[in-house]
Amino acid sequence: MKAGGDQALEQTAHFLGQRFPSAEFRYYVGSVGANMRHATPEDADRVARECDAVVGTTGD
Amino acid sequence: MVEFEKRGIPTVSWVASGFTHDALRSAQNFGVPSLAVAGVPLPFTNQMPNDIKEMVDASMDQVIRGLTEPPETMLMPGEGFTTVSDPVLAFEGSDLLEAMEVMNRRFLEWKWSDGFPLVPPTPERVERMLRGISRAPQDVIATLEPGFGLATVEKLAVNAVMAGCRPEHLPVLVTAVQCISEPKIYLRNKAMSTGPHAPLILVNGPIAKQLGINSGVCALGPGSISYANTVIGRALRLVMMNVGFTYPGVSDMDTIGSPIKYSLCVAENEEESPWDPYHVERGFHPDQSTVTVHFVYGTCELHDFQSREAEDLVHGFSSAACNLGQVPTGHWLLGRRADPRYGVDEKEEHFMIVCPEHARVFQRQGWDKTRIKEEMFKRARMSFRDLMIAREPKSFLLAHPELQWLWDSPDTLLPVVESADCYSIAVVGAAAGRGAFFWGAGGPITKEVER
Repeated sequence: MKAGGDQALEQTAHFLGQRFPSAEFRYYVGSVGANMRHATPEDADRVARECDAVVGTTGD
Repeated sequence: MVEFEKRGIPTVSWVASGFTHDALRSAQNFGVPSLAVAGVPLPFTNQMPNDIKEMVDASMDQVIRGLTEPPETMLMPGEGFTTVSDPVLAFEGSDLLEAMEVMNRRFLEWKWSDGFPLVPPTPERVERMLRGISRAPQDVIATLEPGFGLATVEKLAVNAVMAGCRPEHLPVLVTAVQCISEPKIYLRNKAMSTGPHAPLILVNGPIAKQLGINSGVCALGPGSISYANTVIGRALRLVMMNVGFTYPGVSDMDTIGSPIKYSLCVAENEEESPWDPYHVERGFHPDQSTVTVHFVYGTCELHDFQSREAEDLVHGFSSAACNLGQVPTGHWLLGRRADPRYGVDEKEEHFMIVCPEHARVFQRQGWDKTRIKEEMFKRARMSFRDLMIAREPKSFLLAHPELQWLWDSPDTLLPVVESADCYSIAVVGAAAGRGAFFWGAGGPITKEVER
């Protein structure tokens, strides 16, 4: 993750939570890589199992 | 995000306005024809928390729309650069020189040029170029990311002609393309970055002399003596652009760029090296000809006219590795560059060009390359506090939960790279004590040249 991306996602969740109070939010970070964390196929499968929608950012 | 879309999960990507085209192009290349994007005016990087909050709040309607409606944002095929289906193009002028100028102007408009004049790749010239290798024109050498272009021998020959190569240069170019397509190189990462990743080509073995690839005076510089170096390096960049679709401003989002991205090719000065050549160190026979490609970020000089002691020389060299403005400095604290598709990862390795004068100083005192690397590793150290100045603490936590104690001991000195083998050494240059240090992006790949 690049700097600032995590703050953008936290604000996104905050905003959506106000608009859709019953929504649940989970944060994921890819399990490989360095500052650029990448989702493995297993990571993607897990997210697809656990979520109905995804909002993401690399930071730029 | 593409992988989630492929699994049927709707997504929205936060994208800075300057990167929208790149995001859409990437999605299309990676198998999703359209992508829901929430645009913000600037990247989140380097922004104050309140500014991030304001940018996000101002664009939340795009997030909601993206999650509830089919994405509208879509690129037309070829948008951002031009592709043609005609196998042969014709350009006219009052004479051949003017026709060549017309071709060059058109190729500039289509984004096919590196900015310098291109040699027209006429069918005759391409045919002549193809005689430089025993492979069939339609043989596929690689699939090049990010655009997944098929790198046939013929396409490589076309770009070699445009770069000014001679037929005998083609096998080196083909091998360099094989190198950059290896999964371990993770070309997508280097071709599409905001960083100035440049493929440094090192040629070893008999072919270097046969082709006149300069290994001596001004080997990495301009001039007639570096003609082969210049055109081979240039051809690889053109291939990355015209076959891999690494077009600047389209998929190559390099913030500033670097002159080393135009061309970066050199041979090792094996005759003046007191050590085994680079390729022999990597398991090849001295009589084998090889090409090594190592993506690098930039370079600085290793200047020292004074030192006669190996200890002093290496002490100065080690300061080059301690540059906080370079990505690989302490990068290991965040983990390794990795491509999840192939399950490969790589250390950040540096490439050191040691001049013959300095090599002899080391050799006089019995230092081989292994000793130099070990001494570099031992001496190139910085405090945890400094190494983390430009690093993401969350990435450090994910990569090294066992090292979190360092936050309580921030003056602890740490090596700037992961291990001693993160330093590669080749002898290049002429007389006088000046070498070069290249900050590496990942590690090198070496392959034997096929003719």
